Amino acid sequence: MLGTELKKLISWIQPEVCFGCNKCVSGCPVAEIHNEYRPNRIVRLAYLGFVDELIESGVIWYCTQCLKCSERCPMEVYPASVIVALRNIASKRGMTHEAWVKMAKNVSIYGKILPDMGVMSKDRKLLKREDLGLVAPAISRDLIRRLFKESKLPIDIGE
Amino acid sequence: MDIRIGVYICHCGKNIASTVNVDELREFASRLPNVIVARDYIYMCSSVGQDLIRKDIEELGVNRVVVAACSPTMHLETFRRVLEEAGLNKYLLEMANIREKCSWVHTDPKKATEKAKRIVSMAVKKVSSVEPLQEIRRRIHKKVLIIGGGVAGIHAAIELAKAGYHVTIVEKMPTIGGKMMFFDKTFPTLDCAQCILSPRISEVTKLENVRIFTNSEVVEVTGGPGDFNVRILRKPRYVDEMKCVACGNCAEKCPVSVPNEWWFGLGERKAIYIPFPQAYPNSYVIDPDACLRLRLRRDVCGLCMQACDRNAINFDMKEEFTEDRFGAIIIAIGGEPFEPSKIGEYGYGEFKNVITGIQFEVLTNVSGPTKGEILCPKTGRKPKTLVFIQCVGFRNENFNRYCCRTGCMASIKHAILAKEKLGDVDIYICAPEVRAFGKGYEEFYKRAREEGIKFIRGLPSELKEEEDGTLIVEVYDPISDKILNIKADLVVLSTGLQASENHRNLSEILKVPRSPDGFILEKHPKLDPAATPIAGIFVAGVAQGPKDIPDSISHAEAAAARVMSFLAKDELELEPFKAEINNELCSKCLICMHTCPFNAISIAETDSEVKLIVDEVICTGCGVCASSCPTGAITIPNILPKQIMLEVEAALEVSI
Repeated sequence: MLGTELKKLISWIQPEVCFGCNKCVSGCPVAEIHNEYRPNRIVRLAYLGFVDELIESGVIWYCTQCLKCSERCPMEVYPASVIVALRNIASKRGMTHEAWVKMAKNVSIYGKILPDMGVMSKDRKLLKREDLGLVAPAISRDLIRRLFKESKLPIDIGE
Repeated sequence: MDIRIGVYICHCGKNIASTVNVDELREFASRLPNVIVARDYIYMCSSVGQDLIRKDIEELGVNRVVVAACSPTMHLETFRRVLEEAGLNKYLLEMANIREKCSWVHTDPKKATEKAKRIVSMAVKKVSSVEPLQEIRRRIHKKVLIIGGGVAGIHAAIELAKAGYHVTIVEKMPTIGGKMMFFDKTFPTLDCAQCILSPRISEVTKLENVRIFTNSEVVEVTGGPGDFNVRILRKPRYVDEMKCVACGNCAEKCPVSVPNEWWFGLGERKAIYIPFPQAYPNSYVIDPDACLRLRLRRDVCGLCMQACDRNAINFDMKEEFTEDRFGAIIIAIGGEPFEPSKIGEYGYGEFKNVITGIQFEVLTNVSGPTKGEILCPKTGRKPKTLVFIQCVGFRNENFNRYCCRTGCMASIKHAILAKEKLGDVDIYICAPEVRAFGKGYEEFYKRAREEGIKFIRGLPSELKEEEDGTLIVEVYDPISDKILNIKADLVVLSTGLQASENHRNLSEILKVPRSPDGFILEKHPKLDPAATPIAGIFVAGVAQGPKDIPDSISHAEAAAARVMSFLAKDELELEPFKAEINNELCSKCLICMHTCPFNAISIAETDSEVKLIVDEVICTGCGVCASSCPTGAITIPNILPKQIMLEVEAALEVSI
């Protein structure tokens, strides 16, 4: 049932052994606010072969990867890892969620997800690293681009 | 007399015939040396198949038989009987296993047929060289040892004693009764546990041919089936059970309080105590790890002695050992409750209002710390909302993989009892599935739903505690598709029984194997569930795997029946494959003595010579001694080195 593409990415886990105890849903911080998001439902749909539907619905991008579901699962199904695998398949099809593309672009520019924002002092002045006498982090954009290329990240980060 | 071999090939329905070409194999076998007849049949083990062999022995003068079929553990005895009935020595038979060792494990019919030919020709070579043997006969001691005095041990003892056998029960705890004595009510009938067990305890203690050793352990077992020599350690009670009338004056004066293991930490007991009012023997006992006088010096405290007006307390009691011989042993050691503190997310041990199912049992029990009132341990108040969490530590890859088989029904029972005792109470049972498989269980589950107990098909991921001890249970209910936030006053983690340290120790003492879950392994899960693979040793109740009370009792009675048929004969027939030592070749290096896994070899010294002898009852014919003997002085009949070489030659199609 499980598509070969997905099975290859998660060969070390067995989504088929889930017996539906719902423990992953009970503790999930996302499931609490999103009714359509249920970790075990994603695992089940993937197992039954509904990979395309999952990718199109966009529900796989909700997960915060807190790993609570994987940690607590009595059957060691690791729902969070199934979701990562689905995200990788989506990205290969050019269907990366825009927020992830933005994050990747930021990494390619700043070396991290968010640029340096500075800190607010007690007298409400915005202080940058330079103001505090801190050395600016050395970021080699070429190196980052090379890393992106070498890692074959399936996200187009532009020029 | 010439050797006239008959080869009988079984199709085993399609099990063998679908992979192995049976016609080709039969043709091959018929051309092997000394083979005078080769036949095949769809089910050789059926009476028609057996008749083929019998007829050939009688009419064609077949005097050696090869049956090419399944594993010898399956049907060796069946075909040996056929030989015996036809007047042939039953050890002139060889089984060629072409099922487990060939057809079941191979898919290529051509290669499988070639392999089957090799297996058959090995058996033909071997059977041409075997000698007729006689089985060894031993007298059977008609006494039974039952290890464990719980509900299973007691029932087995009663059945055996009524059938006239002498029974000895060895119980580790100071009283018999086992885990069932903690219970208040039993599912699904809600009859009082004490009311159904106490009469059985009283019955077993009154039977003349039952001897009960409490506070005792089996420490050593030698000998073999029909004649086990058992050494029993009897720990001192420090209270004379004949004098003690269980008045309790001693415990009133005792200054030491320790957590009560019979209440699973929910209360305390004194260093001198009685486990529960219905205990047998109905006598107090001193805990040597708690008592000041036993821990410190002989002149301290002694308040209990002063309080006892019957002079029952005696600090001079010592450990004693009793030795006895038994024909059969029943292992009925039960299991231990799973300790859920290893599961961090439910906060057991940290949050006081999180308790286990068996602790809840103690709370509802009238002889428990709360006299049967259900009170939250932290606040001492009656709970308004109760949540049961199922499958804690079971059906879990990290703890016990198996289903505990009692948790669902126990929690339903607890919920119904709580409803009855507390009246206005909100009860949730969080269970991935409810397994209500026994007689009357599904009806009991329906009754719980009718009484307004809410079943949620999901497990909470974690518990949070508020300052006042209230627990927040966040659980997903798939039917309403809502995540519920339940404010619970008391959370009960439903845990079951698991194998304990006792299983490991006893399996080492008795050399009985255990299954991967740690319980004692049965001989066959369906066909022989109350016997162990070791002859003369049987298993009853939870010792073999988790069971509820009805199953434990059925299993115990099955074990008793197995023991009865085992002991019904006066003599035990043992396989003649026992190590034989040629003392002229033996250099007395004693390597065999140290390698023997069963301690079957010993030194016999007389004035003129020193000899090594093999205890034929203990020896299993495993051959470790024979292969480790540097001078080749040890042999096992019909498994001689030259016979093994003949088989190797046949297997390799060469002449060595």
